[in-house]
Amino acid sequence: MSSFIKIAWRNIFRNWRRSLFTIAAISVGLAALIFIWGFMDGTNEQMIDNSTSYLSGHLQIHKKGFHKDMSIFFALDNPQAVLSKLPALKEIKNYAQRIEGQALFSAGEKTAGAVLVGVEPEKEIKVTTLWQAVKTGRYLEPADTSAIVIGSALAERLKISLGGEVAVLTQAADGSLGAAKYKVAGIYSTGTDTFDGVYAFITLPAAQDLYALWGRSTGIVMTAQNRSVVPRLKKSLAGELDSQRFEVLDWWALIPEIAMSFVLHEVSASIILTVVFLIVAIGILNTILMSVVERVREFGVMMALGTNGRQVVLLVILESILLGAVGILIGGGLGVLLTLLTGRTGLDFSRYGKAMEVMPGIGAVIYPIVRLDRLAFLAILIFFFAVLAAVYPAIKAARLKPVAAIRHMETV
Amino acid sequence: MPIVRTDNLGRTYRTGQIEVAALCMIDLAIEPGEFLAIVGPSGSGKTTLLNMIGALDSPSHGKIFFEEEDLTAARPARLAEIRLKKIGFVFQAYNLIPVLTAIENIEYVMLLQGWPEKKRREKAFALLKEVGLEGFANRRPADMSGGQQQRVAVARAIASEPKIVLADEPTANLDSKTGAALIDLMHELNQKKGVTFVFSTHDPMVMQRAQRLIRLKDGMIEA
Ligand SMILES: Nc1ncnc2c1ncn2[C@@H]1O[C@H](COP(=O)(O)OP(=O)(O)O)[C@@H](O)[C@H]1O
Ligand SMILES: [Mg+2]
Repeated sequence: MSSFIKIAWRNIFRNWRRSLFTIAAISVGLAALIFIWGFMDGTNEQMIDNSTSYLSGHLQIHKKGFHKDMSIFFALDNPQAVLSKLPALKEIKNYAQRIEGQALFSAGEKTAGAVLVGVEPEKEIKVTTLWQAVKTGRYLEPADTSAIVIGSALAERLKISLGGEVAVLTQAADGSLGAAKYKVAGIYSTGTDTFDGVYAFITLPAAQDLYALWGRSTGIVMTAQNRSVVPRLKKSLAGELDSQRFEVLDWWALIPEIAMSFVLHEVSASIILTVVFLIVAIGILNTILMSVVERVREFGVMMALGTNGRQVVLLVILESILLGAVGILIGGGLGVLLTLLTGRTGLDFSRYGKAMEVMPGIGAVIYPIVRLDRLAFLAILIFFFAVLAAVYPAIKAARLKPVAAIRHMETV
Repeated sequence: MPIVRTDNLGRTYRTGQIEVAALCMIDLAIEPGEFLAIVGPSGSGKTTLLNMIGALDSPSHGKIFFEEEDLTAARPARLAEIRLKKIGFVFQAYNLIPVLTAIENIEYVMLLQGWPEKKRREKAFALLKEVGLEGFANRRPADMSGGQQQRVAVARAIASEPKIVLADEPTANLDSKTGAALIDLMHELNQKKGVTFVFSTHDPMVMQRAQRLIRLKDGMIEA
């Protein structure tokens, strides 16, 4: 075996130009794949992190039916019962209660529909980051009773600024009409209309007053220790809570448009992957086939000497594997280096800022990431293709008849 | 017991509708220790006969026996085994594996037979010395002359101590002086070690040195 590796290795060097070209093709292909995948993963990470961290969190618990049309009549009857179960779950990092409901906002002549969210400020700032987007004024304080924080787009629509007064009208849980006036304490701006034009925040007690939900809330939002434990956490929550009465939603369900672009990125990655792999495989096949055809007489002599078919197959496949292995090492190194480098500096797309804003949750600077599972997958796939591409030439070589193969060049 | 014995051996080639009788009614026996030349003009069937003796090709009719074992009845795997263990080959040219050095080429056959590395090395060095190329152990074929390459091929052919070495026109690609020296080397090995050699040639200078001649013409043995 080791002798055949030596022979295979030397055969690769024999036509080093062609081998180099093949190795270069594998390397460039692999490096490109690592980088492209790293870029998409980086985009996905950022997109998911940003989107979940602004508002949705990783998981939310509601009364069953709330999520469908955010009706105040589906508030949790006894949130304390649910809250008491949470400290025991180690995967949970932070959590907070909320009341979410639709309301009509008016200031002067202007009116607009938006979502009014009641939050526990001291807990909420540990769960979500929207408070960091407050550009003028301040975020809510626990003691606030008539302060409201609104998004810049909503403020514009209502023609209102810091210190201005907003009247809110909504359906309360007891069937009455809830109405209240708030003073704009802060205006936030994330740069994304899906936030800035849609959400306004008051404190939880203020919301309980407005919606007639004293001692109650519409949901609990939480972050997990990290995103990878979310599925496990969701399962344990589902185990703790009666599925007839509660719904446990992960970010995937909470922000379906993010899930959609996530899937879209995965699909485009697989398409690029397939194309690059086909090119690489054809390159390897071509190189190995050519080297076999050129060496017909040599194989004939080897077989006349007693080399058997299995050994010929082994030799040809080894040559391909070595080409692939060198390509994997070089391409893997290049790809990881490129991805780490750009991952550190970030890729600035602010020049194309307008286009980026359309995509939810993506900022102007993308940080590609290296994932070991991706690396392993790509390396194994190239290895597999190298073996696969060599099978046909190897069998062709092993099927040669020594007599014919030796005669092949006798007259040369 | 002869090493090789043929009985009314024949080989025909078919190309499309045309049938060519490359060999016809061959009866011969090769005894141990012989230094035998198969001679005849180009196309007379020398290569075809050697291939048949070397278990590389099978006859169209007649029988061939290797140490009284009927090769026409043997399976391909058995033929490969016979080739590996009992027959040494020297071809006209491009005998050596280009990526292996002289010493490694000699070792190759022993490698296939599963010899341990140390034993392989030692034997290969001894053989290289025997063919007068001790200084060329680490040369690749491309860095050796045609005559040197053929000498390495001879060393490789006898490495596994075969019953018989078959050399198909081993001197055809060499100048006459180098060719004569190669035949001398083979003769010396035949005399000193008792290696049985069968070689083909159409060169009168070369056939002179044979101990016995089999003359082929149009696929038949001339009286
Ligand atoms: N593979 C083949 N197909 C058809 N005819 C062949 C083949 N090999 C050899 N022959 C024919 O058989 C005859 C003997 O050839 P060969 O044994 O090569 O002769 P030599 O080695 O003496 O030159 C020639 O007429 C040659 O053309
Ligand atoms: Mg011939």
